[in-house]
Amino acid sequence: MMKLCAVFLKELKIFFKDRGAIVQFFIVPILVITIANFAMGRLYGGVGRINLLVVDKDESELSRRLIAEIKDMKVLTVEDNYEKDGVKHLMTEEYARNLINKQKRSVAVIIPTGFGKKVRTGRKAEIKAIENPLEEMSVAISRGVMEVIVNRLSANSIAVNLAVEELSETKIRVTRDYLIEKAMTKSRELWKDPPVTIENESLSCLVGNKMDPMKQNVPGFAIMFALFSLAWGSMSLITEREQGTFERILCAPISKAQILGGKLITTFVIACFQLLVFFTFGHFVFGMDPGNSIAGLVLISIAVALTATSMGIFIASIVRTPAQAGGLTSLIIIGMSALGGSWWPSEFMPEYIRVLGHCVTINAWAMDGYKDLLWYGRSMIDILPEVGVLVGFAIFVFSIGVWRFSFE
Amino acid sequence: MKDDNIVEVRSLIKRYGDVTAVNSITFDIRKGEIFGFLGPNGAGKTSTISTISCRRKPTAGTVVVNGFDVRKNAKQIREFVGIVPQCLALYPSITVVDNLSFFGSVYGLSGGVLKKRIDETLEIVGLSDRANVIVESLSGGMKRRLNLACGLLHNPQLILLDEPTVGVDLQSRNRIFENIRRLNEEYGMTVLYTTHYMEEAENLCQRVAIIDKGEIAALDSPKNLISEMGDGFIEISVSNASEKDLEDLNNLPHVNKSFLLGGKLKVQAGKTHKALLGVLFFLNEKGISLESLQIKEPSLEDVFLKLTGKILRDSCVQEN
Repeated sequence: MMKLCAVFLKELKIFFKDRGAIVQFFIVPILVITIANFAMGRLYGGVGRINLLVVDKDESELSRRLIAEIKDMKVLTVEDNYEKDGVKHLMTEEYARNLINKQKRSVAVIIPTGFGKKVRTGRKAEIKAIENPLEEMSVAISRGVMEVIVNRLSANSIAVNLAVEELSETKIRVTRDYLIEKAMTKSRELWKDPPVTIENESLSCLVGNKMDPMKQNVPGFAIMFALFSLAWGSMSLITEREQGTFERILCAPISKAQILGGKLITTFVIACFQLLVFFTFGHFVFGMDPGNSIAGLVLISIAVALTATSMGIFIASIVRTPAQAGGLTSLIIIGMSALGGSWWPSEFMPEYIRVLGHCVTINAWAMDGYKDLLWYGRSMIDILPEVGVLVGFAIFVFSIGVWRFSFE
Repeated sequence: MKDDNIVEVRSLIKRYGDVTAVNSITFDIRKGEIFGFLGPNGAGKTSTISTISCRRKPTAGTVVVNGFDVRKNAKQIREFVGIVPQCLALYPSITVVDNLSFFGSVYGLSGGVLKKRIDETLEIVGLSDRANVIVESLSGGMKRRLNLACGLLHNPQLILLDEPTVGVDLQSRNRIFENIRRLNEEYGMTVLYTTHYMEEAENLCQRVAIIDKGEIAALDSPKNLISEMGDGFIEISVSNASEKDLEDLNNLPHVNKSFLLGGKLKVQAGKTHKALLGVLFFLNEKGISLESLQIKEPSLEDVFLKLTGKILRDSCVQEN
């Protein structure tokens, strides 16, 4: 045991003396997680408010009502004026076009002159939208919102005009304008409590904690960078073989199991420590909710660290030089991270890629486990299948690695 | 096993696949001596050391170290054998003390004993003032000394030094020699020293085995090996001698054997002054033009040449 500890402590000293490794294992991942969180936040349900330019050429009561309704929509921030030289101006079509051309805004809505009058009299009225086709997500959301409002206005207009037509044929002695005004007022009241609504039900089994990008980015990049410990582990084994220290140690009264054990424990501890640092960072810096099962998080993280460690000795057993190990581990880590959903949610990928990811990567299984815990608030019991797959894989590659590994 | 022997090797054969590295060698190492293994790279020196240190099992034959058979008692043997490999088997990114501490720990040393042994060993190799320096910042000679120190921590009875001076400057080489002599004289350590530098074997070792192509060609003290060479060599630089001339030259009185190596004619003679005149007449008769002539004292280099027909340094270069 003392000799195994000696190997472990020596490995730790070597690791912590290597500033490059510290940067690669801890600083780079934290930076990547932070950048990914800010850069890709919108992909994970955290869509921020979209700025919508509104040009009101009509300035009617209806156009103002339309703008007020857009403002009520929580996903849009309406900009119907702009400031120049300290003076506020109403938004113009030219100014709006200019902003979109410069890619400062994505969508502008132009309410043309006579819009209100056309709607009131039941004539065809058009609202014009200017869009930046490259900002697909903002454009789609703006279109959706505008369609809801325009449909409402259209229905309102149709209903009012129908009512007025019908009433005009009766003997009631009121003017057409009076009827329109009355009908409009009534319809406005009715819209406040619409007769048809949608009741949304979220399946209780899928209701977990609030989704935020950290819940994808932290586990995703944590798995990827924990896999770098496999590169370190394999490199450490190959370097000892190359520099002749294995030859010297093997002449001492120490078993091969103690040497390998000490080295593998170091890789395992480093991988566990990495995962701990990343999840702690996500929680305390970005407020990531750790879900309902800390024990589950610990369990799946241990399984990931075990897998990375086992893959380290496996790689060392099939290559001869550090350069070969470097190339192969890069290929494996990057390939598995991309296919396994470490960089983006696997839900974004086609079905066959998701299946392939589960066939050839550990990331996909690990991400499934982390998602169960973080996204859906599930318990430790629920992730046992994923943990089982990871541990089984670890045992398999570890056995092959130990069997094939040569100290010479 | 004889009481005064620490190592007994009998008919040792070591093969790697189809390659025979060591071919049935037999020798003893006496307790307290510095025993040299002189031979070119690939001669079988490292394979022999690997077997004695229990790193590799013999293909055939027996190796007994301090009464223990390497096949059956590897664990016991490893406790009292120290090894200094040819390469710098060190961890360059950590300190001198960290390296020593680790290598001491794998020999079961700990706590105060380990610290004391580290201090003593650093003093022996003259690195006490470099204890907390990162290894990669040491000079080549210092690294070699640290390489030696790592093999001494557990105070071994037998230390196996595999070409410990490869690639070091003269000053560091002399320092290493001093260390080895001190270990042998003050601490009573038995030393097996492999080298392809004949001067090292000649100056350091009490007995030397000359090994080539896995076989021991001669084994004795450097003095006895050299004395068998007669009183010297006549070394003549010639421009137009041929291999055929050597046969005639060998038949001259007092000439034991002659060699033609890179334009130099080396004539080994029992009595050089008596052979000299005959050799000169012979060259004159054959019309071989003579560029320079020297009479040299014999050395282990000449012993190696006589036994193997090649110069030790040349064979090292070739095999490197």
